[in-house]
Amino acid sequence: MKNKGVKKRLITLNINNRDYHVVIEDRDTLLYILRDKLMLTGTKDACGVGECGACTVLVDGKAVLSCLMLAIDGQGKKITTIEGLATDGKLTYLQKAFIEYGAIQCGYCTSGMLMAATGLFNRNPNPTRDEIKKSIEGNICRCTGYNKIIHAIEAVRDKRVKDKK
Amino acid sequence: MIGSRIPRIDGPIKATGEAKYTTDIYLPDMLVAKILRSPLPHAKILNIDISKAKKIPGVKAIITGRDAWDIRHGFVETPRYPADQYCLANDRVRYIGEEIACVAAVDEDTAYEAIDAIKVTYEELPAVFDIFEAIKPDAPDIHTFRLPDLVEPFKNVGGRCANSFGDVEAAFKKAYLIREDSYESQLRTHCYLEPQATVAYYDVNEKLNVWTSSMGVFRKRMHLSKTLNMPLNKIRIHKSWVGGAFGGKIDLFSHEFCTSLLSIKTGKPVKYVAERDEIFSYFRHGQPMIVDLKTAVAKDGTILGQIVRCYNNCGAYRGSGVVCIFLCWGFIILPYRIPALDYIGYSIYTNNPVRAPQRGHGAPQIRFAVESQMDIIAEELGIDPIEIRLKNARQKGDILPNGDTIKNAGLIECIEEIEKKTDFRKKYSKNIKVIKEYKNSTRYRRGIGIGVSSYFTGTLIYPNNSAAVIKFNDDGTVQCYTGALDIGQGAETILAQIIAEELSIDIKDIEIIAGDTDNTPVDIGSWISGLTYVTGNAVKKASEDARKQLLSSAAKYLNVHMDRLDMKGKIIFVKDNPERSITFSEVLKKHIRDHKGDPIIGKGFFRGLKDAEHGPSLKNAKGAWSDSYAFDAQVAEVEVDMETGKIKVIKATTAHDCGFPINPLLVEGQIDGQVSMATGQALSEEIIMEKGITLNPSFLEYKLPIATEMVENDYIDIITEEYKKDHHFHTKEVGEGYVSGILAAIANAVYNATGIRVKKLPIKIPNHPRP
Amino acid sequence: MHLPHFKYYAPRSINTLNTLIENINGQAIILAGGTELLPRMKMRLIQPEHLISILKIKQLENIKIKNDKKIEIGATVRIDNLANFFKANKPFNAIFQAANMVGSQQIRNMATIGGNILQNTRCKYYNRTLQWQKIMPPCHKRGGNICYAVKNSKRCFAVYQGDIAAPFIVLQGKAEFLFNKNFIQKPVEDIFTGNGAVPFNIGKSILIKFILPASEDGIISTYKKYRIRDGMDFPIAGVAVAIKIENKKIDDIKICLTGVSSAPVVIKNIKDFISEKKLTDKLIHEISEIAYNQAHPVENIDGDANNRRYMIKQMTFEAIKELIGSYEK
Repeated sequence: MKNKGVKKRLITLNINNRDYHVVIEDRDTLLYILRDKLMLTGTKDACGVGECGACTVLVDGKAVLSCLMLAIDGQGKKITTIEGLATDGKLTYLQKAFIEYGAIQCGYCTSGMLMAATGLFNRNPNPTRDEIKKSIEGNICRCTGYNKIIHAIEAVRDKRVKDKK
Repeated sequence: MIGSRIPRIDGPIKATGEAKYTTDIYLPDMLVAKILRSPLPHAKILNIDISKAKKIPGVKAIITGRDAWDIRHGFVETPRYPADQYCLANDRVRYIGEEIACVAAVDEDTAYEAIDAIKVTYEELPAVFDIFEAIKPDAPDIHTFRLPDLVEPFKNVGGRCANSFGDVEAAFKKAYLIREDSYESQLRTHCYLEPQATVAYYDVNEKLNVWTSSMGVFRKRMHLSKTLNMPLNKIRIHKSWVGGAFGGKIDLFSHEFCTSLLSIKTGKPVKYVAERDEIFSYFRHGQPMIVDLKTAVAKDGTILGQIVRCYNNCGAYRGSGVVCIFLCWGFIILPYRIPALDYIGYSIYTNNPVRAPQRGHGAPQIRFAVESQMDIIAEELGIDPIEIRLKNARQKGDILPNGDTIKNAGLIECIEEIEKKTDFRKKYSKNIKVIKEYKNSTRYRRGIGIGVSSYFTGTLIYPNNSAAVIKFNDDGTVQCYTGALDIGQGAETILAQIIAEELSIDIKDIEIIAGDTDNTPVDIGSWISGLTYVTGNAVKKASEDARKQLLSSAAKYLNVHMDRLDMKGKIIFVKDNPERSITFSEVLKKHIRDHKGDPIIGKGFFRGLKDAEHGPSLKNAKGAWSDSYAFDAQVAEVEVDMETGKIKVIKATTAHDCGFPINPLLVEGQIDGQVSMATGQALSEEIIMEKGITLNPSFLEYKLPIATEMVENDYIDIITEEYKKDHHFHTKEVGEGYVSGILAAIANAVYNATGIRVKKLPIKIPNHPRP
Repeated sequence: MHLPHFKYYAPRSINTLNTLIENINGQAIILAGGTELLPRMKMRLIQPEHLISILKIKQLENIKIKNDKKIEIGATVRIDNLANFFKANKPFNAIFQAANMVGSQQIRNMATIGGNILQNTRCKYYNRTLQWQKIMPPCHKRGGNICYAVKNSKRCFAVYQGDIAAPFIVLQGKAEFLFNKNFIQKPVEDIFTGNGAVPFNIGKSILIKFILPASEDGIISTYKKYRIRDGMDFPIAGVAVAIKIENKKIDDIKICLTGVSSAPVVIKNIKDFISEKKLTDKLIHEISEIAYNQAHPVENIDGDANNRRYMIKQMTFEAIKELIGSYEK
């Protein structure tokens, strides 16, 4: 069996402001640890090779592809997943906007889109439409045509999101 | 509630990552399944040796065709089209990637190791990939099956649909103009973001629990029951959210059967998730089609008759090809009036992976052909594209060749309104002038084009019906049980809106419990463009039933006649004296007491085509097809860079008669998605295959649109139906019909910009060097 | 899809890295951003026993402007940071344009300049998964002796599709390597072999940094990229152009192509070609024609080879016109 004698390590990953202690193999991607070991299934695996963006998480506030990141390289970083966006059940403006503006259909791209958009606002609070498109050019959506996703992000930029839950 | 743009009720769980898809199901002791696939496009299987593989530690079970009984399945199973596909290859493989064996192991590495250790001995057979090679007399036989009614000397014909009416010969004799053109639509694919996935768990009660990414749970259960030889009540398809399907997840898939059988053998949960390159290479794509179109018209542009031949490359098994060639007939006779028609469609076997429906299932291919030719005809007659379409458009009351009546049709309105909104005629002639006057020196050219389409709203195909149950809780809040599956289109939201409308309650007072074959009643599924219509009506009737029972009891307790009562916010009150009221809660309490424990349960059910025994004939297109037809006119405005050949869709306008929109926000979402899919199909998408091998099996190499390709959309609602209490409603489909109009419109717009007629998709404009 | 098993190391200094490489038994590959290496590993195109991450070596992660105004870019500078650094920089605009168009934002956040320059060549018959490799006998790049893209070819036509190499080359960029304790500098164009199967000649040396000459006022540059979609995709043809203006006259034009060959294609002798000539549209067309003539794409990546070749000509023309236009402003 191929897995005999594979070295295991105990590492600590700070995810959504919480320390997780996990046993990993060197080859484990962050995506695999999130989904298969930590049961944080909100981050999705849709291609495994960095071409669709569904696995996007934030590392130190920047959008990255967790399918192409080794879990071991996650040590010492602040990782945010979709589960960590809302605080105490209170959704972020981006999440509310996605719901309000019809930016969610099947929902499979939603987590990646929200993380990419959050990454965008972390570095640019006032993006143009072209900048918004560029920030999600690596996130594939087959349901929405991207229209309402872009509208939702613009609504957050323009502070046009309803506050009630 | 009906007609409100409310956000979808499953929005929050999807926005927080809480929604569980099949890929998110993890069970204790779960095994990983991987599939051994054929490396050859056509071969006899002489021997499969799993002895080495079985011995690998961590391998729990291996199955091959020998374990699958001799049971075949198919997209359709009729006496004329018997099921032709095994879940695991029997004695032969017919395409690269066909499933031969499946391994369940403790982890992925072990499963792949076992796959590698399985030794298959093949006797390679000649293979054929092109349909016109496949029909030749010297082509290899992919199946021994031969259609009894096949008159043509073609080999490898998996399906034939022939229908003719009217005097075609006379039509062509008296024609003012005859046009003959051929159009080719490429092999394209769904690109649903959630991979194909199944988790199967045969538990200690001998119940097979299945989570699978699908388009209809009852249809999957039926397929599994048949292929596993198990009674229906022992198979439960659980509810899971679905990450997109677009037609690619209807059929029974090998892995669904395999994980189930492996779980039965091991007693452990078994999970299979397809890799993305596997999906692109071996799973089912849309139906490629060649359409030979010959049309005879009068001097004023009225269609007199058509001769149509459709050639569909359905892949190594029938798949949905045989349905597609019937639907192609349908998409010819809608939306224009065709007085005489000679139609034959062929579905031809080749040694390629099997093909499936993809959003439109024939409509995009046919409308691209017809609408492109209509524009050519219009130009030759000296009339404009709007005028020729108005002349031929179907109207309310038209009777289709199969006897169906068009109960409501807003096509003329769609065309007129869209002309106004897009200023079509002015722009169209202006662009023609640019071509004539400036020929080569304008680099960026604008073009405007129109495409018209029509789509059916559900038909009869198993399970044929939907039922719904509405139950009250003590506080008057409502649970609705429906077998409907939300694949992204917003089914649960729509159904909640219907209930909210009927019972005049808030959306938040309604719980939808959906898509579980144990917990919910039968449902037609989300793949036949009929969910809103059929299931919507079932839910409506269940709500009406519940409402009647509530009112009846309330009338008694308030001592008035039922007709004087109304309800709102879980309170029933006398219309002309609202202070006299009673809450749902109180009515329920008293009702239970007075009716020997009856808690008030509303029951509803619906079946389309109520007088028909079954759906239309796939052989000759005869028989009732659908209860109502949706119509649309779509306009695309493009900009073509004549130097680089790059085409951009600047704007898309959709004028749609979808009956009435239950939720306009969701309808817009459907239009947006379909415009995007159509743009991809028109401009850049194509699965490239060479001798049965896929050369671009990835999201990077298959050029589906990304965010930078977003198209600005405009919508025009043409309302032709009404939502009335106590009547079943004819809301029409919105999920599939808006691909084809835009696709055709883009092709026509490219002509308007460049003077180049498009005959093949995706559109490729040669680049012109600067003068 | 799992990666194959490997042993992971993350040295914190160049010395440790060096020692590690010298003493390691078996195949060891450098891991930086991972956006190119990890997909290749998932496809089992490469299965190294050891993966050495260089992301913890602080020395490699910065961009510095030295006292002599030269710009030093550490091997692990992220593409996004590179783009931001050169954003408003007119002379080095080609680098900004190229970096800004690499992949997606996520990839730009993860990928490094070292990895981008040293990316392996690509071909639709090569970048395929293990399943394909089992069906199709190995081509030149996989250690065999056939080519699926060009029938009967004795050599590999895999394409170099890096965006940033061509701008570095036209801007006279150099790469510094550590080999056997010696630091060696080479012009960027000299690290390429032109052999699709083995695209680089750097062997076991370690890329340390890139050095750009001090930015001069007379230099302007740009980069044009052709791809099917307006984002995400690799270049299927790319042109970097740098123009040197001296005494209000165009002294030299440097052109380098990407996406059409197994290495960047440096267009030579433009300076002589334009010497003493008036820079008319006709002359710019002729320059574009020279670029076109040196581009020989084959059908082995996205798009149509004839189109890609044509686009080299079109983009060269457009790039030069654009730069002259911006200068005249």
